[in-house]
Amino acid sequence: MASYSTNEFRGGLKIMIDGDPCSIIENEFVKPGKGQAFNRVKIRNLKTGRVLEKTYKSGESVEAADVIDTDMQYLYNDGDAWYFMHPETFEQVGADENAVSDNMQWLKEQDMCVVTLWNDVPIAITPPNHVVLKITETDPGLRGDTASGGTKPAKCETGAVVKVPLFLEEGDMIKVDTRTGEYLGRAKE
Amino acid sequence: MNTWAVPKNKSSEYSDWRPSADLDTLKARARLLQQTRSFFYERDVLEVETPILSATGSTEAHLDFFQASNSLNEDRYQLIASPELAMKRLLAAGSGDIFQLTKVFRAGELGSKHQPEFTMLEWYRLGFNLQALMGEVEQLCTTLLSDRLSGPSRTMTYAQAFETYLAVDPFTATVEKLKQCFANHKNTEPPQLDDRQDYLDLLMSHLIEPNFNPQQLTFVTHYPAEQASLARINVDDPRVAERFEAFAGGVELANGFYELTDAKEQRQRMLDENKSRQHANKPEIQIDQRFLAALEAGLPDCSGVAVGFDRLVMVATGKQNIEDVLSISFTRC
Repeated sequence: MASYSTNEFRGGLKIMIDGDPCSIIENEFVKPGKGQAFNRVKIRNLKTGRVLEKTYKSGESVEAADVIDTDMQYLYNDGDAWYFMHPETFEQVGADENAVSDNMQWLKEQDMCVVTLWNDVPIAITPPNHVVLKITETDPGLRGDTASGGTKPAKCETGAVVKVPLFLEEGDMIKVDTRTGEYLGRAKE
Repeated sequence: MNTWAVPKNKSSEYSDWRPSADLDTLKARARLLQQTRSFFYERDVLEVETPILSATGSTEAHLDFFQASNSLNEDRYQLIASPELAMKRLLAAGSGDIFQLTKVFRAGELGSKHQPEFTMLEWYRLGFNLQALMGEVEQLCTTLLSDRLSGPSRTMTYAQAFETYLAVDPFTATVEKLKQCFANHKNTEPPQLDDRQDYLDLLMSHLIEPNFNPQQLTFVTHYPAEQASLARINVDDPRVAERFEAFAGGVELANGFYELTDAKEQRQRMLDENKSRQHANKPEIQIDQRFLAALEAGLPDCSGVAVGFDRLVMVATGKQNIEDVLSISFTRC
C-alpha cells in the first residue's frame, strides 16, 4: 500500500483519513524548540467536502489515497446516475447523487467537467467555472430596463435558479459563475 | 533604493534565483543585527565565534542533524544544532560573559516558522539567576521590538498556563486525560505519541501558545523536570526545572536555563537522551567528552538563553513567514 511520510506533505496531496479520501489544503510544521515535532494539516474530505484539522506526529506515515482528477465530458442523467465520458478513451463512468451533489444544477450536456475518481469510482464532480445556460422560466422582461439595477430569479435549463437583471427573458442565454452562482452577463449560443 | 530591480528577462526554470526577502526587510535585518551587537557591547558581553562543525554533537532527543563528511578521508562531523556545548567550554575556561550570533542546523524542520538552517543568538551571564536573565531578554526585546510590543511582559508558570487555558494539571494528569483534553478542544483524535511529555508538548503548542497576546512578551517558567534539558532542577521543588521560554508575535522566541553545572548529572542526562533517541529510532550520538571535562573543571554559576534571531526579525518586521526575512531561504539554497 502506498504511503506518504509527513515530510512529503504539501497542498493537494491525497491521503486516507478514517477510511475517507482527503486532500491536504494546508500543512504547517509545529515544533516546540525542545520538544516533539508535529504536522498540523487542514484537509478536505473529498467525499463530504467538509474541511477539518488533523495533527500528525512528524515522521509518521499516512496511507495514500488513490485519487485522480480527470477531465471528462458530461453526457446525460438517467434518473439514478450522471454519466461522464473520457474524451480520448471514450470510457464512461456513472456518478451517483452523493458525488454530484449540488453541482447537478450546473451540469449541461457536452460540457467538460473535472471528475474526481477514487479507486476508479467518481466521488466528486467539479463543473466548469463558467457555464452558458438558457433561461427556461422567469417573469416577463422589462424591456429596455438595463439601468435600474434590479434583479429577478430566473430558472435555467439545468434547473439552476440565478438572479438576473430585469430585462432578460425566457429563451435568453446567460453566462453564470458556478463557484458563486452569480450571473456574469448575456451570452450568445 | 528599497526594492529589487525588476528582472529584464524572465527565466522560467530557475526564476527562484532571486532573494527570498525584499530589500527593505534585509535592511531592517541588518539594523537589528547591529542593534543586537551594540546591546551586548554596551554591557561588556564578549562576542565569540565557535565552530559550526562538531566531531560529536548534541544528544537532544527531538532533534535530527545534518552531517558533513571530509572528502579527503572518512571523518564525519555534525553541523551544530546549537552552540551551547562549545560556549560552555569557553565559560569553564574563564571567558566571562559571552554572546554569539551563529548559524545552526536542524534536519527536517521546515515550515512557516522553521528553517533547517537558521541564525541563533545565544548568550551567557555569570551570576545571573533566571529572573535576572529574563529581565535582560525583556530589555533586548524592548530595544529591538519597540514598535511591535505594547505594555509590560507577562510571566506565568507552566502549571499556571495549563490551568488557565485547559484546566489541567500538567504534573499529575494521566496520558489518558491529556489525550481527552486535546480531543475535547480540537474535535479530533490526538496523534499516537511516545510518552507523556510529548502529549504536554502537543497541548502546549496547539492549545496554549495560540492564546498568548502577540503584542506582549510572554514568559513561561518552571517547566517540568523531565524537560530540563541542560537546566538545573529547582532546589525547592524537584518536579520543576530552572527553565523559561519567551513568546511574542505568535512565535516561540527564546529558551533560557539556569545552567546545570554538575558533570555527573549532565552525563546521566545525555545517556538518557540517547536512550530516548534509540526508542524513537534516531541514531545514537557520541557523547561530547570535552564538554563534560569542561563541566568537571568547573562551569561558573550562570544563566544562558538562546533566541531564534530570524524570528526576532519576523516579529520586528511583521512578517508571517520565516522565508520573508532570509536573503536566500533553504528551498532556494
